[in-house]
Amino acid sequence: MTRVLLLALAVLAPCAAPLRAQAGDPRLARLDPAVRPVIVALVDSARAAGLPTEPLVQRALEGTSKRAAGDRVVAAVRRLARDLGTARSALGPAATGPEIDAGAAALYAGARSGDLTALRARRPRQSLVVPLGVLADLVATGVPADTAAAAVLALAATTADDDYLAFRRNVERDIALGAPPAAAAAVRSTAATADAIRKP
Amino acid sequence: MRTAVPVSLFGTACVLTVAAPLNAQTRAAAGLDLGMSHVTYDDFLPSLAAFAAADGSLTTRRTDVTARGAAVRYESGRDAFQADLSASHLAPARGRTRVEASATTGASWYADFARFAHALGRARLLRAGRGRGGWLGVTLGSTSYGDGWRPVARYAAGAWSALGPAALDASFTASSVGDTAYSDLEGTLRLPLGPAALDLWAGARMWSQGAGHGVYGEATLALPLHGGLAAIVSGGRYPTDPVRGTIAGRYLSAGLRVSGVTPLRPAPPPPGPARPHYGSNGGFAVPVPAVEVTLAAGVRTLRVHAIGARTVELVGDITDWLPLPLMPGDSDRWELALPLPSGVRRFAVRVDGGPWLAPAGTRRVFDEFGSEVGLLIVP
Repeated sequence: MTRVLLLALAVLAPCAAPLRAQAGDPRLARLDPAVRPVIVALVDSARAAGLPTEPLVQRALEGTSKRAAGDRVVAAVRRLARDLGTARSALGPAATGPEIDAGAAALYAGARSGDLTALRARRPRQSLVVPLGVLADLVATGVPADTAAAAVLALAATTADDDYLAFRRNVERDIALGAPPAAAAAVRSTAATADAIRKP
Repeated sequence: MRTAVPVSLFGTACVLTVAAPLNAQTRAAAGLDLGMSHVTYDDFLPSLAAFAAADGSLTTRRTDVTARGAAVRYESGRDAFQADLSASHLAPARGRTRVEASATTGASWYADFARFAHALGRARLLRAGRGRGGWLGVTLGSTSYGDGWRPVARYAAGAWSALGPAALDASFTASSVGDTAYSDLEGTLRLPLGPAALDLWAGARMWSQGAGHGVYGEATLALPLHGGLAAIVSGGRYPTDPVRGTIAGRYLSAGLRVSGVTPLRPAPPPPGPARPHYGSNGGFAVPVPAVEVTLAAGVRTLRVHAIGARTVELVGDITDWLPLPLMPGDSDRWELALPLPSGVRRFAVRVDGGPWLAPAGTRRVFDEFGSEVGLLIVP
């Protein structure tokens, strides 16, 4: 029942008069009173669903700090909440908060939930924060999402976090030299994979 | 420099493109090259040449459209021009196999007495494995030397492999252009050399009827200078290309390349009102500070390099999006020691009360609120 009420609040609050500030995270007091109840509801819903709430709070604070219009702040937080949920479903119930957050960033960049699931399958016991961060980073660089996902997946079984970061730097450098982002990622991925295979 | 198209213009991109099957998609990119060449075409006197070239590409999910143009002025005062437009489309992968269809058309002309044009279509079957791959391709079309169109047919097979940090590919091509026929065996090797990259290309025209024989090879060294600016030195010998109307020659060229790639999403916001920042040089430049993170004794210290800054502030998800002043260190360094939680951190930096900028060392993206933010991966 509580969750239903919170959901209703999230839907109706943009039209409602400012409500009394919700108890909870004092940082949310910095939000515009007109959007605060909606954000509080979204955060509470996420908490009830077992999702990390800190990214939602930070996104709301970011929008407020940048003096964004209330509806844009709500839209950004709502989308992030959806992406966090999708990421958690894709990564499995054992996913950590940072992994879910990084997964949401990858989804926002254009990765598919199936990519996240495949990454978890290939890297079941290691943290996925760096691979997911690199995936989001590559797409932001201009590498097509499916090429970036293929590159990150190809490295997943054998590559340490530091090697992932080195791979990202190499792709960035190739792009700066004029290489097409997709080609840079594909070539660097194969090179890194071969390198990893040779390691004792 | 190959006739009207300096090899240095496309060296890096071409080698990488050949070295791995692409899955072209969503981005926009552009580049500009300026430089000088010393070129000697077979049976011609040597000549100096100045070149300028521009290229741009627009790529959707699996389709890529690229336009290139180049202008060359020779020592004689004569000019050469070349323009190409190409498009390619990749079918969805079936396992490790993909089909690529592409088309290209272009024209070139030298002074007022040599004009060439071509229109080609190509289909390739690509297969990629773990660290290696191969392809089979067929190209059909027509080319014109200004006196009617001649049929073009080209059959190619190739393979590529990753060798540590290097990438090697080799291909065999059999071509016919009207009554001219020839076959080439080629190989390319890309070697990262610290911050630079060296591309080597070697080949042999093994059999030829009207297109010349011999071995050829080129080397291109690309050295990044700053941001999207790179110095490129290239040289070698290349064969006659009857399809595009270039004749064999030797060249040595040096130039600068400026390139840029748009961020994927979201689209950048419309430009806001100008907010000049007076840096230490007294100018209107907006210096972009650089950031680095060091880890010592379990504490990550975030350092910002900002030349000549009087104040440096940081805002982000590590400060609850409240501006936090950094403490001055030595040599234009500003420091902030704080716990950096694992994840994809978002923040921006401003210098002397100027605009909030994504610092160098982070991935600059545009957020949902219409401003830029830097992403930093924290293990």
